[in-house]
Amino acid sequence: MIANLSRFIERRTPLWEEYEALLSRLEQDVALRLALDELQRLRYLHESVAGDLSRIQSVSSDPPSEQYLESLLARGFGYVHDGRRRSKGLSWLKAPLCFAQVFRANLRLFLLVFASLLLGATFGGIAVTLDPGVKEVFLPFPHLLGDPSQRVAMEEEQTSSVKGLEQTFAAQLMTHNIRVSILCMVLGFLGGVFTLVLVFYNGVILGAICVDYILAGESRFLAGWLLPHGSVEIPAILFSAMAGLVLARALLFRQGRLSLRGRFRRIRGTVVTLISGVAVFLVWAGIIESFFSQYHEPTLPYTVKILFGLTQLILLIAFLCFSPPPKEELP
Amino acid sequence: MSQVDPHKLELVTADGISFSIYLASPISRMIALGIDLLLILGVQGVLIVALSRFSLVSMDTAQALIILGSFLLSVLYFMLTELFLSGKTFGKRLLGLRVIDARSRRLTSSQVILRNLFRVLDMLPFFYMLGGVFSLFHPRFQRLGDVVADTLVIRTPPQALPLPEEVTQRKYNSLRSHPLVEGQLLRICSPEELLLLTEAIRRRESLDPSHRVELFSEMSAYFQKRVRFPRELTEGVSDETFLLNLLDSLTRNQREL
Repeated sequence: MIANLSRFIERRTPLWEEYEALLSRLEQDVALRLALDELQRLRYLHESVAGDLSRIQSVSSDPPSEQYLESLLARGFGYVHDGRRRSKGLSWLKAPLCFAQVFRANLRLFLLVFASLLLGATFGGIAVTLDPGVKEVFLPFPHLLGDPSQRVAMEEEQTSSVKGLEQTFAAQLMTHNIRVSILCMVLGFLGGVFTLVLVFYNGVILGAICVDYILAGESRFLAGWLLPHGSVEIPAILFSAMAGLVLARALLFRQGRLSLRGRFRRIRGTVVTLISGVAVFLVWAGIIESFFSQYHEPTLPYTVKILFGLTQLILLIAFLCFSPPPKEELP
Repeated sequence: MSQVDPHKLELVTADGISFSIYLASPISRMIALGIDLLLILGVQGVLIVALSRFSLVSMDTAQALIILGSFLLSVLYFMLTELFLSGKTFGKRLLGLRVIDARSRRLTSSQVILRNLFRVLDMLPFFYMLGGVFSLFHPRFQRLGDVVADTLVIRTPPQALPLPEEVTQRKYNSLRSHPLVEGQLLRICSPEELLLLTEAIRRRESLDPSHRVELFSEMSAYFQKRVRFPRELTEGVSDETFLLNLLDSLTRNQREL
């Protein structure tokens, strides 16, 4: 019972100020870890402030004091009532293992995305075989619309098509591909259909280009051009689509008694792990495409480029399939 | 967590004590976003000008750095500020807004990353149309990114410890009849002086009587040096009453807002 509100406020003010100061410390330094005695003090102060608010609410109407205490409780609620163990964050060494583990746990979704890509590639390939004119419809890149043999001859005459602009080209590739992969992932929120359509369309482009160059007898150039960066870039786009389908699955399919919020909560770590990995892969692919893929024979033998691309692909598959599980719990 | 007023969420502590948090309206969020985007544009401009000078050394490197810098700034600005500034970007900070976990737990990095990656979808087809319209009709004003990340944006206006009743309920204050003096006082008095005055008034009961008289006398003399008060405002008024009047005049406008 509060007999005199002013005196009560005056008496309790040091406690409230101590609580406010502790909260300010926590808010200013997100990495701050309180010692056990400080944690106990935080809990005590939180409960004291909650109790004081309850007393003020029950005996009198003092809106400023109520608002002040409510604002303190709102700030401190998360720190006191969060029962989750605080993650120390993944080390650089363990984060890739976590990525592989997440990949394996959602392998079916990857296969679905891969099937969509293959379907698109088959469609694109058949379409170009039947009517080479469809290239103009499918391919958004003007330099790929002409005769493949002419392009190969031209590319082999010069050292590199991006000579002197490699860094700019790499930066453009990285940023563009990361934007596309983020879009591919978030489109999963609309049921996953658009994600699959995006992958299918990429498959159409890939199939059309491949068949066009193979029919023109430029298979070695094609493999030497695409494999070094494509062996990382294409899987990366598929991983982002996979993240999109993880979202779509959480949205569309019930999992026991979990609510939609609960389902999203459960897959948050998976999606962030996948998309973070994708960003790393795409940065690497951008560097390779700009500084390696654009150099052709006689500057760089196709055999070297093809071997590099194949080695990279095999290493990626081995990493995804056989890397040991991390000791940490999956995100 | 229950909801009564659409802008208000009731939270209940483990002991059953309830308190409220206030949701930010889509309009205030839009203004905060506008400020953030202007800030990003400004920093990008500075970045472009600074890196353009580097083009004298290498045009290629300068262009690459501009592209990467602008991209990283637009992607990481929201993530880093929300992660390291307690859920507040600079725009949100100016408008007194904050991102929190929808269950009022600590905000995690995966929540921050996800809600910000979803801006790509929220901004479709142009200037946050999808996210904006969605949040207008959402009971908790969440945009798509908030729904997936399970986050809320709330209003956190700065709440200072309330002033003593003697100030807030003050009926007689001779300073009120001298608006020019009050105006001068408001112009001259710094936030630090106001804080000092507030704390002295708030803690006066805990002071030793002789120290109390001494302190208020010194403070009264200090303020009378800072502002020239008409004699009728200071004569026959105790130092403590004079300072209570000062505090009332300095905080009245703010209280009445």
